[in-house]
Amino acid sequence: MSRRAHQKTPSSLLFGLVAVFLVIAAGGALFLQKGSNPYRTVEPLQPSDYFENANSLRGNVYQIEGVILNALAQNPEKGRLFSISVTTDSRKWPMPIFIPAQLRQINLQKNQSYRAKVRVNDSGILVAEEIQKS
Amino acid sequence: MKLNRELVAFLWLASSPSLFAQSDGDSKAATGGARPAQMNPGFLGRDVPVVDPGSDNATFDGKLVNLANNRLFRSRFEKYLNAPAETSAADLEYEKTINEILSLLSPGKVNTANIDAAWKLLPKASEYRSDANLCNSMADVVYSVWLAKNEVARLEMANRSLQREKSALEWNYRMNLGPSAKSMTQIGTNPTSQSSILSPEDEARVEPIKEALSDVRATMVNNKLKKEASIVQAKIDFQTMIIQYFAQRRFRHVLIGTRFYRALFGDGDNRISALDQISSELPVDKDAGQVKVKAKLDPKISGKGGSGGYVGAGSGTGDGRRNTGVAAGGDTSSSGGAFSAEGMQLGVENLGVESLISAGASGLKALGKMINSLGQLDSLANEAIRDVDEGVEAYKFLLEKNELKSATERLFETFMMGEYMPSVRKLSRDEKRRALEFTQKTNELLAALEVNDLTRAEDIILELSKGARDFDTSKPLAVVETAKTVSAMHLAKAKAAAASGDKATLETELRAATEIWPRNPALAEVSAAIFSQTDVQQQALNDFDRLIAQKNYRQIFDDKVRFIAATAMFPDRQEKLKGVLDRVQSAEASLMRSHELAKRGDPAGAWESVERGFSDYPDDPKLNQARADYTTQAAEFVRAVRTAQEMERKRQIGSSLAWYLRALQDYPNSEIARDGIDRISAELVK
Amino acid sequence: MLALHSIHLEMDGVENPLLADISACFPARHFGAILGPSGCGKSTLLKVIAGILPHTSGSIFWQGKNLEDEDLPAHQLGYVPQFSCTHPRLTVRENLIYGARLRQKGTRQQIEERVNQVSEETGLTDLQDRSAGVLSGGQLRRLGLAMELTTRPSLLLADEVTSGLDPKSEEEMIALLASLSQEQGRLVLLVTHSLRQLEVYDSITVLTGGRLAYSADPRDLTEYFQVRSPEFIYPTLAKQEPQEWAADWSAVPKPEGLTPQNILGEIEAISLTEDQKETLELPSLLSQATTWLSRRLKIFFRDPAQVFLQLTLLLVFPAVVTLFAYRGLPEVRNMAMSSDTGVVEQLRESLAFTIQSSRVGTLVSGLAMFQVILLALMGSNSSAREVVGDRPILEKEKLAGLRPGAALLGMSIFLSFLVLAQASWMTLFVRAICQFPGDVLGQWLPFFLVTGAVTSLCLAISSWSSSSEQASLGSLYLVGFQLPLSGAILALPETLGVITRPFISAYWAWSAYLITLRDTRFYDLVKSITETPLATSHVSLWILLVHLLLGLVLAYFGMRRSQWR
Repeated sequence: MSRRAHQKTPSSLLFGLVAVFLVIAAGGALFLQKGSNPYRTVEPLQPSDYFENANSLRGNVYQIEGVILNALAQNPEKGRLFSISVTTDSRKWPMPIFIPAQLRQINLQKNQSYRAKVRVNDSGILVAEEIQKS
Repeated sequence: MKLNRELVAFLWLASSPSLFAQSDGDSKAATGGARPAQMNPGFLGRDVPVVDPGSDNATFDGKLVNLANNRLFRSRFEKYLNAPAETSAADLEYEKTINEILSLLSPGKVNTANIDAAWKLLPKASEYRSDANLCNSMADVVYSVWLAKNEVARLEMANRSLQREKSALEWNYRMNLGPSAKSMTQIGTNPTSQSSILSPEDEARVEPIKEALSDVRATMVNNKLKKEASIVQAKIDFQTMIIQYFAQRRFRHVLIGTRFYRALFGDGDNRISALDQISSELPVDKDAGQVKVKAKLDPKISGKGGSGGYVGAGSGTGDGRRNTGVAAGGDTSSSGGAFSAEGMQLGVENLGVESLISAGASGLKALGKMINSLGQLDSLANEAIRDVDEGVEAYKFLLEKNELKSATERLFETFMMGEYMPSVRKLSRDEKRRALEFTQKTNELLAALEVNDLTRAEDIILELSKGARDFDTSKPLAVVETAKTVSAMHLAKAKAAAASGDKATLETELRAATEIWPRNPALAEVSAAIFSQTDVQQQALNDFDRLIAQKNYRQIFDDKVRFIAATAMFPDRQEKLKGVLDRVQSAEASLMRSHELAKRGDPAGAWESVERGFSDYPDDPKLNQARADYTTQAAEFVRAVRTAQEMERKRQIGSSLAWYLRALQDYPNSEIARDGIDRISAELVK
Repeated sequence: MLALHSIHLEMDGVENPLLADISACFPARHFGAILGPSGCGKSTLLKVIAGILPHTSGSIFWQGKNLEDEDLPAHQLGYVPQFSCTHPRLTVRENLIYGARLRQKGTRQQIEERVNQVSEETGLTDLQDRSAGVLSGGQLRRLGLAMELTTRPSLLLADEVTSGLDPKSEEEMIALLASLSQEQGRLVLLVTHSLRQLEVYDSITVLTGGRLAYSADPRDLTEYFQVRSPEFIYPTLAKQEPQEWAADWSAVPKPEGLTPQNILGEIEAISLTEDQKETLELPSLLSQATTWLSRRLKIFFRDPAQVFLQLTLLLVFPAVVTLFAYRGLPEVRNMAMSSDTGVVEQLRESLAFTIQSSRVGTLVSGLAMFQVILLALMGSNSSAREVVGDRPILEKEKLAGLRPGAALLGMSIFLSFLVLAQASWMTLFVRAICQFPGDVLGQWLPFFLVTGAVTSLCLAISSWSSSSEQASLGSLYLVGFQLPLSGAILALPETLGVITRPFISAYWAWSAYLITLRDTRFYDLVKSITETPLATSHVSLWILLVHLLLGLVLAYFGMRRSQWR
């Protein structure tokens, strides 16, 4: 029916539109989400691997995200050592992370959630190269 | 008679070879043991020689006397008392011979024939046993005198001829000299000493004569000297012999000797001036020589020192210790020691002159202080003989009075002095019997006291009192009683110490009790108890050692009461036991704590508690069990801790830290985890 | 000329067809009446002719063109509904002006001239400044008529415009319509059930039960129906079944429709049409939009209650928010970070921190969400009745040539003023009072977008709702579900959350707002009390934008849909 006054929109069009919108929304979201994680290209660290044998991961760079637990030790010249709790598969893995002196301006507090790009050093400790609150 | 007594004592002691076997003068020997020397003089008085159990001293007459010697003396006295009277034919013959010799040499009858006759009788006398070969020695000495005399005569003759020769030579000399020289010389002067200026031709001429003269003169002098020397030597020899006889209490031989001497050296010179000379000349080194002697004679001498005076052969000059107890007129301030001679090897009778001389140098010196002349010796000998006779009479008298103690004492004294005297020898057995009994009894008593057999001593004392009217039992009994009490006290203390495990005290007290009264019947039962305890103790100790070797500490712990008691006296074992108990205790504490924690639903804490205890005592089965249980219950946590520790060992500290964190997450109270974290963190930030 | 060929209209769920086999012919310069008892389908037929209702079968020809192929231009059709589609708050003149501006392009002067003309024609000149809300029935009908006449339609359809009028007014109206039919070859069709003055009409069409019983000269009416006077027609109609009447009529031979008069009229009409083609154009979308906007604004400000309401909401809601933290946000105590502290100490501290978190964190999160919800409420309040309240006018105007998009645009702009004011004031006021830290723009944007999104979504609901109540309800549900499904108060199970959250605007706004606090401790506290993940700003704003656009798109289609009452 092509009378001007009673043009009907077929529901299929409507649903199609909604679907298109969803797709656009999701696509856009994903695209933007990627932007929010600066380390998205970095491989995430598997805590189980680390616990099994940290030495085999020496020299590699990973991203981790976790909650700060405790400050373990600090040396104003070298940096600070924290314990961070990384949750994967609904299990909490506490891991040591070393914040070198050049990142001293970051104020880490307990229970804060941080995302970091870390490198496994020779002793098997995760040394943060970049870190940001997540 | 004071001097006499001292002298007698001295003589008696001096006659014993042990005297000359000198100790090193350790003064401790005098007292030693439980009863101090000071006690002794007061207790029993002077009546019975009191035996000092700790030493071989006895007080005799208020003075300490070496018991070893007294033992000898005692046995000899007893032997004497047991022996029959020497009234056999031989004895009588011997008596007769001696008397004959004496009469032959008696002052009015001395002439060459008598001397000869007397001299011929000497060997005859020596045939009798009771002479102990003394007359033979004397005969030898007389002969040597004669020889010396002969020599002297010869030497005289030689010198006379030499004199003649000398005169001739002198004449020659004078003759050979020039006219001027002749006038300067005088007859009789020594040509050699002349300081005349002779012409060379005179010199040449008189030289041989001079030489011959000096030769002659020298020879003459020598001969003279020889003569004198031989005479002196002969005198010395003879004097020595006489002194020896005196020391040996052979007073009649002394008389014979002095008479011979006077007959031989009728020059009235009976001064024993040579004593000092002899002693100084004799090859005796004050220290070394005596030590040597000691060493030779008595290898087992134990020197016991003591303070307190003692009479007697002051020979105890040890190293640096004064020993001046020699007959110093009752000087009791000696700090020298007495000596015991165990293992004397020389009989008194067979001492040779030489050994006597060399060994008895200081004795002689001491003697020299007392005796100055032969005449003195003579009179002393006579006096001694007389004393002996009187003593025997006194003995017989006291015996009738039933004063057995005094009688025996008197006989003892008399015997000490005049053992070889006929009056003593002639006492009949019967007469000696009661003294013998008494002596035996007192010997027994002394013996009992010596071994501290107080029970027996008590019995003997009672017996003695029955037999001897004048035996005062109160004091000895008191002593015995006291000793018993003291012993019992020590025993009680020992028992207490045994019960409480005080090994040191137990030992001391036991020893004291035993020393004071070895035969204490109570000792047996205490010992039995203690020994049985000791057996038990020994068993416990064996078990303990075994368990220690097996490292079965828990068994030790379970049985700890037994072991504590057992090891009380063994400090090294006690240390070990303490160590074991501590370890098991701490393991036990860990275990209890872990059970507590487990009950509260904290298996991880329980495991940690056990783990800490485990390091103390890794072999404990209980801990092992608990550890296994809790490992299963707190498996995650334990796994985390173990992994962390292993990683740390392998120096993978990153992983290690992570695992410690994990362990802490599982069990937030974990000290092991916390320590690990702190440790590694500190290391990482260094 | 209008020719109806076998118009058939059936509706689902209705047994009898509404219109069955209606065939009729109406020439130009003609004033025809369509009569019939109630429920016979008169208005339906008119709507079918107007194109408001789609006929099931048959065809309609206007000036030789099948309207199915090419609908007649809006300006050629004038449709006066029974109930007036004028806005009561506007004056007569304003209504006419706005109506005219919506329908035709022209300068202001031209419009005004035309309006004056029409006013004169319809006798509204004296009433120009009177508010339409105070007009009498007859005056309203004339206004309605006047609004249609501004475009000089060739086909004027009037649906019961005389109903309810007093006899004098009725006479006047009929006379007016008759005079209009003489103008410019206009065909005027009037639906009425009044049987008076039938001689005025050029033709009478009688319907009964959806069927055509008679369509011819009024003089022949009584004869055909065998009645003495027209009043008896209706009872006579009742004596027979509609089908029989239809059958009877179809048996009657119909005269040729073409008379010289008809032809002259036809030529006149056609030439007029051609003229109009050249001169009359629809205004541009933008023009229509601005017209609509200005009209809307005028209406808004003419409504004190509305203004008051909006102002109240604008001011009170932020104030309510600040009530919870008028002393500012509390300071946050940090937790000790040493792992040496004993477990009990740690627990105590943890507990204290948790209490603190739950206090402060809940406060911050709550404040954020509260603002979002209130903004959503405001938004929904603004737009819930925007379309549905004006729907008849909208439909009328759409029929008259209003593009739905223009109306939407006009509405959107109008609403965006509100949105802007609401979001800005909320952001700034609360921020100022509660001393919220964080980036201003970062906080304003999500608020703006969420208000816009909810507004647009409620606009869509409004455009799809057939009644105000429905629209209000729908909006209420929309806002009502925002809070629980956002996960801000209670976290949804993650799988469910993942599905629902993309549709909940409040979540995104709340998330974007909190993200701006990331560098503060409040963020940590909030993070510690909520399990719902926080999305980044970019994503949140994007999603909100999508919501907003989606709402607008849906509103467009909703408005495009014809929804005549």
